[in-house]
Amino acid sequence: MANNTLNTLKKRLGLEVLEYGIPEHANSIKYSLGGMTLTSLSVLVLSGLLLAQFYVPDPDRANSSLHYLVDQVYLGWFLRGIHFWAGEVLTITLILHMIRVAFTGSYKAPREINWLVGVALLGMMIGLLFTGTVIKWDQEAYEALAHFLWSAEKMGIFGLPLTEAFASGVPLLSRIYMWHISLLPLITLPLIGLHMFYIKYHQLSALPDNPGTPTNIPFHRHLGYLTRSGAGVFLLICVLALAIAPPLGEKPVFGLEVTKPPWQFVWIYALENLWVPFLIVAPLAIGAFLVAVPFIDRSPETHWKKRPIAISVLVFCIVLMASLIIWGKFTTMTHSM
Amino acid sequence: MRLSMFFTGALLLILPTQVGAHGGEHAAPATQIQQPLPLPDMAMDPSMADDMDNDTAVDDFYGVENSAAVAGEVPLDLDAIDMDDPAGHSMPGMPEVEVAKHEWNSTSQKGYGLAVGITLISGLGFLFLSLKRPFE
Repeated sequence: MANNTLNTLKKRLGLEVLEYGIPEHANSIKYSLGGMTLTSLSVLVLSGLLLAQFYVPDPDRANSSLHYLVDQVYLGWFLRGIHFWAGEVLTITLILHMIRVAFTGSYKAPREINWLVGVALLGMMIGLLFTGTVIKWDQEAYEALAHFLWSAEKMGIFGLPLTEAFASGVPLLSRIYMWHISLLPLITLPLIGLHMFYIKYHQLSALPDNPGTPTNIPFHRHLGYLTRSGAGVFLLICVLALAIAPPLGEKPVFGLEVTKPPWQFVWIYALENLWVPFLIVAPLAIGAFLVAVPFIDRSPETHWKKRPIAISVLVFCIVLMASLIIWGKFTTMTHSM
Repeated sequence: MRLSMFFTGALLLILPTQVGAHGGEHAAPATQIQQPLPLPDMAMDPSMADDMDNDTAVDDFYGVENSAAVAGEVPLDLDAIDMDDPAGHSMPGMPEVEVAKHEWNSTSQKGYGLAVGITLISGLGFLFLSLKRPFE
């Protein structure tokens, strides 16, 4: 009886379409990092919808509305903590996901386009993280925006839409808030759909040590695994939000530069210390490099032991970024040219 | 399985530690409580229209009334931080700013008990999914 009802429901709802087979190794942490990232993003969207009910996107009131939320609104501090820590967890799982894809050569043919979609998604996540940092409108936010505007102005006509001059009379903070809650998510969502479509279309990449035909499992078993890993991610976010309050300063004092960016951006702070134009050059160079990866490394080999150059470049990039982040955390800005 | 159980165990160990570690002994959060100012009327203020026609509005890129300028601190200026000048980072005579940092949450926060409850329920949910493995 129960089985009949379930089968009828499956047919009526079209759930049978999810009964296709996927490789068994999909049910492992390293091949579920993308799913965990999606869980964090879902938490961000839901908590962001609630936060938006209390946020005033006006330069004069933005910071005080957040202080009011955190100190006066019931559970407001927890809600903001959930949003903040979901962003931190997303960053970690996103980085690990990228490293896994690079390590297993999953960007290679026929999955080059999906790698490019992933790079675009990385850009969107960076944009969301940056705009999220700015709209809290404290000293850190102001300084981040000042650096961003300096870069945008140097980019001339290409940077114009990102400056206040593009829509004079409209507070830039209000526009950045619109980018955060509307423009960037509107671009991100179809990209996620495309990313998932290509995973389904090209299938999950085979294990490098076992490139033959993998053992398949029904997709609903992977959904079960993703549900469990998603619950783990949510638990981690809750624990962090319960224990540690994210930073929130007072309204900014214009003209001062005393803060450092969040750890996700601190590497560029370190580079800027070496040569100020790195603010523009470094992101463009990294973006171009990521786009070029599948077109430079065209051999079909995916086992790491047989890809010494690719793995050396990967390790070098990881060590370089980690070193820059650590250096940026401890260095003092000098702006030497 | 073993890895999942390890994470579950570690998280469940952390949770009571955090709850017990904040028995209301911490000082109140250092953040200043500020009521948001009343929202303006939805109808456009005529003075705003004037500002939009004003050439100087271009320089006021954070908004017509920025907080610091209202507070009599530093006039808003895109060039206030000279990116090419080392002195731009330590202008003499500027007010000092306390850099915001991560802080431990206090148990006196509004809704702390409910937050603990939500965390516990999510922990139990994860434990159930790890033990029963539905659909897997």
